Amino acid sequence: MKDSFNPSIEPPKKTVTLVSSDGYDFEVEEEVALESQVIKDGFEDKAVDDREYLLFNVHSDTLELIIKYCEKHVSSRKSISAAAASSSSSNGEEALKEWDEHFISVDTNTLYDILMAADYLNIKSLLDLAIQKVADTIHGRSPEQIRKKFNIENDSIIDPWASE
Amino acid sequence: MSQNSKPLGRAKYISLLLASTVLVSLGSMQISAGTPNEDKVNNTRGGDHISQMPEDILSFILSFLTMRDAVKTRVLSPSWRYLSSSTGNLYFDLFTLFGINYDGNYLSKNSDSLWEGNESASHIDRWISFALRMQVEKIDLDFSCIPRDRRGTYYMFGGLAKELPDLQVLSLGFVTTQVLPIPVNMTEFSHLKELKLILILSSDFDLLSVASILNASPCLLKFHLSLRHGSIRGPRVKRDYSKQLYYKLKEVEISGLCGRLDVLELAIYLLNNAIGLERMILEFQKRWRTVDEEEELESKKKQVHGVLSKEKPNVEIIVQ
Repeated sequence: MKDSFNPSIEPPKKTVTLVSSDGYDFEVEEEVALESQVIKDGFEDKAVDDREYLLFNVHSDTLELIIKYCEKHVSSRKSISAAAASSSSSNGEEALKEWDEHFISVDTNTLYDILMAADYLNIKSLLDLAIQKVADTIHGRSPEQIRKKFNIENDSIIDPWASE
Repeated sequence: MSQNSKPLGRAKYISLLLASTVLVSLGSMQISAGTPNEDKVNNTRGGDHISQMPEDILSFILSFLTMRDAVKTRVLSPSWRYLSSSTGNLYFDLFTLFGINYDGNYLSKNSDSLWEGNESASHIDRWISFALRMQVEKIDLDFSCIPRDRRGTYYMFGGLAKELPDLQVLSLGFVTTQVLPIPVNMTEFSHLKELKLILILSSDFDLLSVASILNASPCLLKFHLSLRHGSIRGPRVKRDYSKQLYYKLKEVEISGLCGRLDVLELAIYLLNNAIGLERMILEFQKRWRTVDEEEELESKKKQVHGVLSKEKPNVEIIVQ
């Protein structure tokens, strides 16, 4: 029997408030926020009523995406382990991979924002995902194509091997 | 003790890199200032964000790429130019160099044929000059599969130090029968901090002649000598080497110890001449032994430990 049939016995979820650089509050479940290693470190030392984090480097648009990512990963991790416990076959990991791929298929500016936020918040799986995406973008392209893709200005290198 | 440590090559390149990053951001600022106001609103996020990312993230991105792709990014703009060399090691494998895919067994056959003849010489030349341009600090050279190519000797003990003066970590592997005797006077590796020598040792090779390499590495902190048994070619031929004091050397590790006497002689020489030595590790050859042989080894270890600690009591000596 699943617990969800009996919601009254479930304890109230603990939440954490994340404040974006442009001043928006995001209330998220504790375990979602703990996906960030930066928040996790020193989390226990903080008083329960003082669990508010000012994220000076993360814009609300990006923070929304990051929270979406963390929520998805927390929930699918649970369902994967539940499926493993009941030894029922599940393609949860496959599905999550697919979801990740879809999630990271964004324009380069958003990708850049996600990458910087993942680095700032130290969310390793997301950082790896974003970096892999950038690497994939570089892979197999000519330098001219890479420049175009990332808006890199070619400031007058005539001979790349010439010494200064 | 008179050796003042010179500024390192790496510091130079970091400052260069910073200068060029500033250049790039200045360039994009000018452009955004020059565009009409309406465009500016739309384009505030259109700049070259990727080049402005911290260097460690960019290096991390490059580490996800193959060496071919990583090196390609060097022509993107000045700020990308030295990034691919900061990712760490340059690893020359057959695929990177020749586009050859191989599996483990195939490698040895293939590399033999690649090394044959003088064809290899020009390849080595090109690698070294490439490494020079990339300002590498660590290089790994394995000459052990070169069949009777004496050219390697000149590279190891002459050209290399001349062409890569900023080298900090060097690993050299060779078969002693296939190189000329180590010259007494070599070009100095003025920045070398770590040296690993992997020797396939023939019976006539005088191990003490590696002192010449140490003499040419005044900044060396760590020396690792890894020995493997090679061919038996008569008794040891003594070579000249000049005795010197090593002021900076802190750690010596000799692995693959066998019954050779000159290994102990070298260890004693280093104990007496490396003034700042803190630790010496000696490791006996690893192989299967019978119970009797194990016992014999244990007593040998004690004996070696006794001899060496008598020589220099304040150095930590570990015999394994």
